[in-house]
Amino acid sequence: MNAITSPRVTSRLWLGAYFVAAFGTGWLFKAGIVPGWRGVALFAASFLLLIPLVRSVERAQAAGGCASAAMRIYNRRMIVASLTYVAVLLAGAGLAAYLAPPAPVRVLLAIIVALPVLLMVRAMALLLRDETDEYLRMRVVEQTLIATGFLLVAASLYGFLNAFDVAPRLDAYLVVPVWAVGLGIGRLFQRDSSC
Amino acid sequence: MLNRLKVLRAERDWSQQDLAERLEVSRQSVNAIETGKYDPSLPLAFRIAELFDKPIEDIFTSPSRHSSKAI
Repeated sequence: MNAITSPRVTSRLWLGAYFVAAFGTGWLFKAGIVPGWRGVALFAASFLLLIPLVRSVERAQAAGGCASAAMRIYNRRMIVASLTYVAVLLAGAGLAAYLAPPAPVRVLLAIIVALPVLLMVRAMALLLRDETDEYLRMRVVEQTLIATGFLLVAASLYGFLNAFDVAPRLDAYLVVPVWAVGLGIGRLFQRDSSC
Repeated sequence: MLNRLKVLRAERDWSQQDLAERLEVSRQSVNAIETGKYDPSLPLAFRIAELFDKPIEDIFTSPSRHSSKAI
């Protein structure tokens, strides 16, 4: 099979496309190039790329002999949680900014926006509980440990850069995408990177 | 951990996928065990031994014995 069209290469191309789209549309909105609701809609739409991305990852996993029923269910749960997170985050941020509701309502909004993150953590916990293949389960545990380590180092370093006035303040909820990036890095650093 | 899984599999003319299906694990798990990248748990090692109808020590080489032989 041609290397360009192998499932593994295709999944990496989708991953690249997803990051370019998500960060690109986010930057276009932040920089004011695509302002207002159009910028927000474009940013939100970029997350739909998660669907073909996850499908391509599943094809790569099947080709690499590391697909499992628990992983397929986990992938679907994560897509639902991620898309819900983006939708609720943008809606919540918009409501808080434009309607300026009182503090108790803003607290409630914050809790609602954080709930999809709980769904992601639940999906991960259910994967570790339901994965019957001990080798695949060990790989997931390794990836989560590497992702957590990456997040701790990145957050600490950035916190000090911010404290020493050499980096701007960032919102704490960015830990979720940074942790997700850590999962990807975890895969790259595993001894057996064939999955 | 060194093992004879590949040899035993070849004797039965089984592919990695065949063995994986018999053990109810992924093909990648079989590959990782065969190549020594992953040491199976005791329950999985027993399942492998029972499948090939051999004692565990006929399939897996004790790491301590292997290292003492190397010395």
